[in-house]
Amino acid sequence: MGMGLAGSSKQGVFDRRAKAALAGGQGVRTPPLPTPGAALRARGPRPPCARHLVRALATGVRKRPGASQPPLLSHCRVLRPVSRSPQAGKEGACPGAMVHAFLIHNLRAPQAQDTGLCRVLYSCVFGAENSPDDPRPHGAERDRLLRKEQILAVARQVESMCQLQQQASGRTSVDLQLQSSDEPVPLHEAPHGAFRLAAGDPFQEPRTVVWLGVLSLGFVLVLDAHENLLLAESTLRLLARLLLDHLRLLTPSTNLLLRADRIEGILARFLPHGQLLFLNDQFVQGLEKELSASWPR
Amino acid sequence: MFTAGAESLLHQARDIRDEELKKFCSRVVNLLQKDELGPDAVDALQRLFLIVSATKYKRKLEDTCVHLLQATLCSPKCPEQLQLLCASILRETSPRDDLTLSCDHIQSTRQLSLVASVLLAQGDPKGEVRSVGQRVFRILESRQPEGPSPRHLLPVVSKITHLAPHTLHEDQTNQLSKRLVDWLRYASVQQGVAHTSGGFFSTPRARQPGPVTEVDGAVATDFFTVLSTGQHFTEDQWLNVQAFSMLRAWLLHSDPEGPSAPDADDRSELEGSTLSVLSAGSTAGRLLPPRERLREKAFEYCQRLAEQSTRRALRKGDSDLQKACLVEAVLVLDVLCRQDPSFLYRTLSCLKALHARLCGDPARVRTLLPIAQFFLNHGEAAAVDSEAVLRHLLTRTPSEFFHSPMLAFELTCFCRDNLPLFGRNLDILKRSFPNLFKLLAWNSPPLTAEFVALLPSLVDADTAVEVLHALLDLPCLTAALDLQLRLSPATSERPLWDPSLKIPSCLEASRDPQFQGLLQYLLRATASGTTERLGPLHRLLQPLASCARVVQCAQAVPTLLEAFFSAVTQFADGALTKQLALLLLERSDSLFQVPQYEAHVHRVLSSRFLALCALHPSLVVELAKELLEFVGSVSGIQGRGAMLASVVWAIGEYLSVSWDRRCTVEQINRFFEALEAVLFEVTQSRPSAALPRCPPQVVTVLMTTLTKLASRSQDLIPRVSLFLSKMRTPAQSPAPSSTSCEEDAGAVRTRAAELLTLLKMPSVAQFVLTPSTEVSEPRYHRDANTALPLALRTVSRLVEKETGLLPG
Repeated sequence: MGMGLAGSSKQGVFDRRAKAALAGGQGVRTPPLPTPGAALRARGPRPPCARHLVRALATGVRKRPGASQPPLLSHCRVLRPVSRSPQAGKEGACPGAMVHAFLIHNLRAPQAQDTGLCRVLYSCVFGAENSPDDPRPHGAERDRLLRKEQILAVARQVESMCQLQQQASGRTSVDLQLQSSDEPVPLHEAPHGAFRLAAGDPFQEPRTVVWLGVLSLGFVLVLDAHENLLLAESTLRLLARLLLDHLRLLTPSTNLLLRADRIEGILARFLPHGQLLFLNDQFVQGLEKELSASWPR
Repeated sequence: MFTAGAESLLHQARDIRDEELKKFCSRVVNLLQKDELGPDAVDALQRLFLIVSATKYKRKLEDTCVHLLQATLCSPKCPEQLQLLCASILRETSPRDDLTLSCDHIQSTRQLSLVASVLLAQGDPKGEVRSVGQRVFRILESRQPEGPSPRHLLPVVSKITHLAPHTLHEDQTNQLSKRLVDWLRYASVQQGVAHTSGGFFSTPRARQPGPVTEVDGAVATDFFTVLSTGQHFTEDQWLNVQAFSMLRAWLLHSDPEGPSAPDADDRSELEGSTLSVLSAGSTAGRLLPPRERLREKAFEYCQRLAEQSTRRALRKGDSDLQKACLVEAVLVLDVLCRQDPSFLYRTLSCLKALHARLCGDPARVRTLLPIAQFFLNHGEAAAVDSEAVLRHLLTRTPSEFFHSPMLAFELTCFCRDNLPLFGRNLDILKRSFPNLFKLLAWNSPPLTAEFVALLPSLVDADTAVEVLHALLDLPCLTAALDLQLRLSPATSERPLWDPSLKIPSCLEASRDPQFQGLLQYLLRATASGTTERLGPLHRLLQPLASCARVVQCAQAVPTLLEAFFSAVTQFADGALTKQLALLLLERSDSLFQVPQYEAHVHRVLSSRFLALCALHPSLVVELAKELLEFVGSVSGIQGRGAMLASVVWAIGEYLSVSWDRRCTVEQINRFFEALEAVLFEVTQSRPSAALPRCPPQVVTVLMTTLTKLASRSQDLIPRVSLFLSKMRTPAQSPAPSSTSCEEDAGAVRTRAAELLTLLKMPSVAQFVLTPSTEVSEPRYHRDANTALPLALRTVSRLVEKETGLLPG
């Protein structure tokens, strides 16, 4: 999509009709919040559990001017530190072999740390981690907050890992720039890797993270510790390829933020409930046909 | 792509206020109440999803809206696109306590799967997992041929057994095991029929589909598996895929404890004949209980996959799948053998053949890991030595594939996770540390944490010295690996190194036989028991020191050194400690010159040197000659300040008869003279003002140590007093440059004055500067007449009196 300002482009969060409906009420639409407060809320408190090691290795300091100012509407927001479950590490389930979460986030070029923030663009958690029996009020709200923070912590670590790998192999930010959308992206050459998350940091159980960086997007699977990594890796490549193809992510005018249905449609078929599938080429084609029939491109 | 547009969209979504959202919800409600749900509804739901998912804080959705989202999700006529959106919005806002969703009346399995995804995201406060499980099993049990396909339900079962393993009853577990056998072993071997939806020419005439084929195009020779292929697939073939995908988790779920007591009767005929030919024979004819039957069929399936993976796949995707299937097959066989040892005999022959075949296949190197895992788990029971398998894995694989991030990660995790299983093979692991360090040197960011956990097991009294050298040379190893890759014939289209860095001189010089030998030593596969001085190699590889990979590795070394020393101090005896302390002295000035590396490493080495001395105080006397050399060789103080300070401090602390009887007055005098010379050099004679000043910490430590030594050999007191009084007068610097400089000088002067005062009462000085070990005993602090408080009072009175007399 273009550089359209809020309200002037068709792809605002509310389209024109929605705005008309809004304006039709008694109230006059209030002006948007000034940036500093929004920036802080967008950034929020640091995750309680980002690994110090990665933080130490990551280059540069991510800070935005103005981020230290208090938000204008701080009293409306529940900004509570996320507490970890007292039962962390409780033997919950059988030694699992499934995907815990899938996410897509943006990747900034290593040299461009100051431009924007690490954003999770889409995330899907398959089932909930065993919920702590928290007697305090707003337990549900805190669970959700914790889940979001966990995902963001993963995204940030993946971004660091990807940047470090890019730097190490001498690939500059040019590689992350938009290529011509006609060329297929060479996924087998895209930066990729895996790392572990220890129990309690940030998930209750130990997890393995497999990631793939394609241009300015990071695709990530958070796995149970004993999953078949070869299968996870090829599934992640397959998902990335499908998302690029079916959402036409390489065309500058498209945006995955408003196309959750397609992402969900792809996940429901190729990673149902976080189950990795052994799909040979013909099965993939069969599912893709089914997908194209439901969502004509 | 992530563009500025997306960023602004996210901001808008976050900035939407509650009343705006309320109005938007009522719009959504209006749209969902229509009979025909059109693109408007899709569009609105897409936006609603963005609004609720863009923030981590709670978004209040109107009750009617939540209600309608649930109703739409459960409505049988609703298009999939809308159902997916409703489910994702409900999931995104969960856990929520106002759900009325239930899966009890849903017929479509696809829809049930979606509803289940919402319910399972709630974290089970109301027993959602159990109720979903019961509903899913009711459908699975119904077994109507024309009924809803269970294909979409198997992943739900997987998830449920994962979230709450005790949800299912014994008979349900058996029931599903039976059906899994059917799907795994008896799926149709004919291809499915294409579902052409009413094209003009497509009459529903029964065109007989052909048989399924193997991945190389040949007609299938045996039953259908995930590696069988065709144009179209039948429903049971889809179920075959689902069944195999969940097989390992299901086997673990249905019998988590391995061979258990209640089954003893069922298996009585197999007892005592674990490895006999009888049990290894076909059991197909007998009627086995469901769990055993599933194991039997799973075994056959895995064997068939192993056979199918020898075929040459026509498509790239299938060739990748073959590798993943091999890994899974070995993992399943491992589970089977753990649960029922009677499989061991049959599995071993299969896996030995597989291992022999895969050893020579670089494209399938990662499949060696589960095989090695299998031999580690069962080697002992099967009386097969896993040594050869491990040796191959640890000595060959890392040197050839260190540049593959996934292999490096998997191999490191393999070593770390299996530490308790290595047993007497642990020695192989320890000896191959130079090889494992290659993985670390090339992939330090993701692997540092793993190696911190692994190091304690790699280090023992025999390897400690070599490991420490290797750790200090780790960035140099990274550079050497880079050079090695550049020298070897290209393996991939894209270089694995940083192509922007050109090092023609390195490439040229590396052909020199002198360097060849050193490079080979640095790139050795196993511990050699010797150490080489790598100085020339450091100079050769210097052009690579600035490359990002080397710098990243250098940043990881301090953490690894800390882990090393915490491990080594657990078992180090006097002799090893002495070796290590010597090594620290020796290596402190022979490190690969990476920016910041020396300073960071010195910080660790200096504190660790003091810790070693504290553990074995006689080190100072035993290493007197080397310490004197070290102190005497400090020409350029810059860079080594931290190291010098801790060495000098250790001398002052432990060069005393009270720590070691062998300490003599001559020794003290010799150290005194050497340190005096150093102090003179760093304070009085500064050849040029351009050189950085000696840090005040080093100066004060030198002064203190000289005073300590003088208090032990009192003939030296006049000399040190003279020196200290010189220090007390302001340094004759040409221009008092900055305030921090002035503060430093002030600190030095104060310390000089204190020490001088102390020395005026030699017996008190000795008492304060060389306290006996009794000081740590409680008696010393209780007895007011003989003890420390008295001494302290005396000293402070003296010091106060003296400072009062000082001019200015």
